[in-house]
Amino acid sequence: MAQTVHPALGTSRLQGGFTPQVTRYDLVITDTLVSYTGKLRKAYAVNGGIPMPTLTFTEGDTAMIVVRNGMAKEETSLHWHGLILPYHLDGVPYLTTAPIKPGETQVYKFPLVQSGTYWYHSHTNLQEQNGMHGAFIIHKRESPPMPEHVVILSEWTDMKPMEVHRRLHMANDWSAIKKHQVRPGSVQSYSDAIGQRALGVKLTNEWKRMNAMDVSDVYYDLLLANGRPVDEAPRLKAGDRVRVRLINGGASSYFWITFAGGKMTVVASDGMDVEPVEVDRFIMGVAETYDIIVTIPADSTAYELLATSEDRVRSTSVWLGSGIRQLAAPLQPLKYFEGMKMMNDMMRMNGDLDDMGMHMSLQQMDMNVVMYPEITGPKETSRTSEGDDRYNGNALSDIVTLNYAMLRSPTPTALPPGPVKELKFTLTGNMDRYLWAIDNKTVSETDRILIRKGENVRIILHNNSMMRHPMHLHGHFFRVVNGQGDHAPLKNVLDIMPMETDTIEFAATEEGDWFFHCHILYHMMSGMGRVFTNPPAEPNPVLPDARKAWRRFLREDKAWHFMAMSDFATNGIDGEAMLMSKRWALQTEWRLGYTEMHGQEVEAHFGRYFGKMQWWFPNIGIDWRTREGHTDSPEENMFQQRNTKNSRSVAHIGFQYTLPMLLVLDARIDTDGRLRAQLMRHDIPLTPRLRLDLMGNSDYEYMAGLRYVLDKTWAVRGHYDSDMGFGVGVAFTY
Amino acid sequence: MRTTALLATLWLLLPGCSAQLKNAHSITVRIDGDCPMCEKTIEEVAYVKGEAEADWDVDAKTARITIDTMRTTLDAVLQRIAHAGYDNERYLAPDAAYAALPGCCQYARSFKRTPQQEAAAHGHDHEGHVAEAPQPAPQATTDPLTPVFDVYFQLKDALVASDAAKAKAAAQQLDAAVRVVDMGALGADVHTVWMQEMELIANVATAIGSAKDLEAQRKAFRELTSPMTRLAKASPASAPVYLDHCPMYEGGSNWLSRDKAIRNPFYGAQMMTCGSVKETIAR
Ligand SMILES: [Cu+2]
Ligand SMILES: [Cu+2]
Repeated sequence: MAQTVHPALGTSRLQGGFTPQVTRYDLVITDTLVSYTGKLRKAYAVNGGIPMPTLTFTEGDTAMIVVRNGMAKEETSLHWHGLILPYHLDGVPYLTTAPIKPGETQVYKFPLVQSGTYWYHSHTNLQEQNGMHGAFIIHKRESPPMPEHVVILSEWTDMKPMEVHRRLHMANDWSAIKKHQVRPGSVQSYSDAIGQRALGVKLTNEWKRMNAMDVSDVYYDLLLANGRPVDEAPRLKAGDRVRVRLINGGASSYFWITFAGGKMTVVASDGMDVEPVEVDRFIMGVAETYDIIVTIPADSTAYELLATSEDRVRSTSVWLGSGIRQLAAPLQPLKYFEGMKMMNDMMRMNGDLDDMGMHMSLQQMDMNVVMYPEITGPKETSRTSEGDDRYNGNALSDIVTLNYAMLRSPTPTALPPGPVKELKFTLTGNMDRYLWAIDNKTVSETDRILIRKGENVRIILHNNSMMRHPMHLHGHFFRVVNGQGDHAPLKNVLDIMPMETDTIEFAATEEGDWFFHCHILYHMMSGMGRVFTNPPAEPNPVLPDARKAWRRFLREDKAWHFMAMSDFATNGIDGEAMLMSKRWALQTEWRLGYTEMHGQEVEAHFGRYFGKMQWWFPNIGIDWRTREGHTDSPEENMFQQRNTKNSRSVAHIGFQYTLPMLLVLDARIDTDGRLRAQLMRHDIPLTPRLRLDLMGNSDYEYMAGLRYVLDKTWAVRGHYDSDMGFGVGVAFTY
Repeated sequence: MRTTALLATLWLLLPGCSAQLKNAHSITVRIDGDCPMCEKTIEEVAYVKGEAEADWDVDAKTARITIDTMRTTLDAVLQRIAHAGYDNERYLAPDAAYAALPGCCQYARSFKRTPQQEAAAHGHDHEGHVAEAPQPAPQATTDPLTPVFDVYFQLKDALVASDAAKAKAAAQQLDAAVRVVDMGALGADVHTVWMQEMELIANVATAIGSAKDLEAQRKAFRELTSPMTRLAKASPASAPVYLDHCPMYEGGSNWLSRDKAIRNPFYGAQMMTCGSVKETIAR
């Protein structure tokens, strides 16, 4: 295999004077049961451990990794994150590499043309979430020895990742309720808003069709450092300068890193050296790696290196040194309603975000600072300013927070001359249906993007969604155009905050298919990405049937999700079920009385969501109902049409549209020519667990219900329905 | 669930019980502070209904901390106290938390070592220190639980010898050994058992470490048998471990030993050979 040396790599050229060696690791992947919280859960172990073992190499050597899938049924894969290697070894199943079938062994052998902190993880479904992530460290050949400690951060949830994924798609906020137990206020209910005198803010937020301020999507039971709630590096003494190689191997969490022993010096990001920069803290996007150097101030003391999730619900610690434990200051709870107020200012009525001329980029203007008590003061005395610096944390406080503009490569990284292919990507998405895309198109809705050797690719990214996205490019380093001229830093993950515009560029030197995607696992699985293709000279040796493999690869974001809720009340059974993909949905609703007088009613419709916010849902459907003993009612609707509810069996066509205040308008005409308009809203969060459902329509039907959420499945519900009267009972959600 | 409720009810019916906590365990811990206001803060942050409470003494600068060992740990309580600004035996307050204390509470930080002190102690000489080379990937050659068992047996031997000071030291080592176990290197089954038992082992070790006399140490030591036995069974060592039984102590108690001969840690010289081998745990 020829040694490919990436022209954009400042530090990877092999210098002579050594004999390259082959370093071999054998990895056996098995499924296993673990108990992090006292409950036994399925997870993946490699060589019996979680996380996967740290693989250590020396630059210039050859890595040989023998991977055996020891699982009975599941297929798997391993992707070598941040490494420059032949595309068919990149480990994206069906795109570049064949999946590793149960019982199968694959050998990955490639020369290491770079050094630094990288990692490896499964690229199959959601396996990465449950243990399939490990550190991949390449030491420089000539580097003075110094103590070092590798830390891979991750999360643990007792909920099955597939269920997390499914619930995200049904906009279920059980995650927020769980967070609320740890950090009160996380649900941002009406009662929370009133308590904080922010009802107006909350109402404006709902007027602009936002459910709550989302900082992160998923509730985790634990955060882990090297697979443990607390990690340690005890063998350190006063004065030691230790290099900590931090990897964010989480599936969806950003981590704030702070240190109890003073400043941290950032010396590398995503494996690539940067000129040392001293900071008090920095945030690690999902899949980013940072190398820092810290000094141990005193003996007989362990200093806390604290990693706190962006939502500040949980943290994990690494204790550097041994002895009495010096705590770092914990990050105080977010001021959600300040964030909501900020979001209200920036959200236009059409769902677009408006940066109000601030040209946000490179993490310099962080509008989240309005939620950070350490920057803008405690809730009671929140400081807000109006000037240009109002979101500049470094200007507003003494705390130095790293941002991308501060990263500078020690060596020039200018691209070789060549034609430039410029692409503009707008990141789009909506929380309610958990659609994440680029230009409102998912991977399976687009073609591969052709790039050619000799060409330079420039991507101008704009984030028009409400969440930050860590965008990762496989098999290349890109330059982050950050005002450092020829010394722009090289990275392979770019965190881009809402409203930011960033430019990245890379030379199209590597042949083959390369995935570019959001590294929040649940966003990737929802289709947020693109594939670049740089036509290879030879067909892919490991995927002979290219068309079939491509179709299989595209299946990922085409999944259908099922959800259902129903109550069992004293007056009947009232519920709905939905089967939905990212654009299509089949919904059915039922109201089943126990007596003929209450009757039975079932309707179903099938339709497609339109627009990036997916507020429009045109649909066709059927409506069937029967009841007896109602001869006295007017049987006429608001449009003066005759409207018997005693016996009906019709088809209808209509649409749903989400109005301000999150009211859903459902308008339809049926095959008998009858019109119906209905307004409804489910799940109005009166308190963190008490929810109000409201509905009224032009057939003079109305319903009001109160639901108290007990757990992720069960609730107690009482409601009044114009047809069925008052009822109480239990309700379940699947 | 039901048994817990039943126990709770029974508890309420028990007459004359002064303690508020179930599974109560009390430990005396040194906590820095200066004034009655400190006392108020320390006791307030330590208190969690049904879990933990503290009684801090301004003169002795110690607190009697009582916890429900099934619901919380001493570490959790001491962390809370440190986060509120008060240095203690195990945790140093974040500098910001200390700085935020009212003037009268700005106690002299006796636990904290500053870089200046270090420099004075080391005479600015760090030259002689040889840096650790980067660690290669861990190879699972030795059982990561070995140190835990080693220290357990040291502790047992100290109790056999009726040496309270040695037992205390061993217990503290056990606490430390539990913390540094490389869980990544544990097999899946052992890992599960470890996750379930490590907290209890650490808690009991803490209790022994701060017990006031040999008698209290022995009583707490008894609680280590069941978690250690589970661990020994989950990952049997190459040398056999014996589960020994003493019918007399506390109505029948067990302990683990690496020797086949009976050496009773509960009575020491009084009844050195009282007991019998109940089970042999071997690979
Ligand atoms: Cu994303
Ligand atoms: Cu990827």
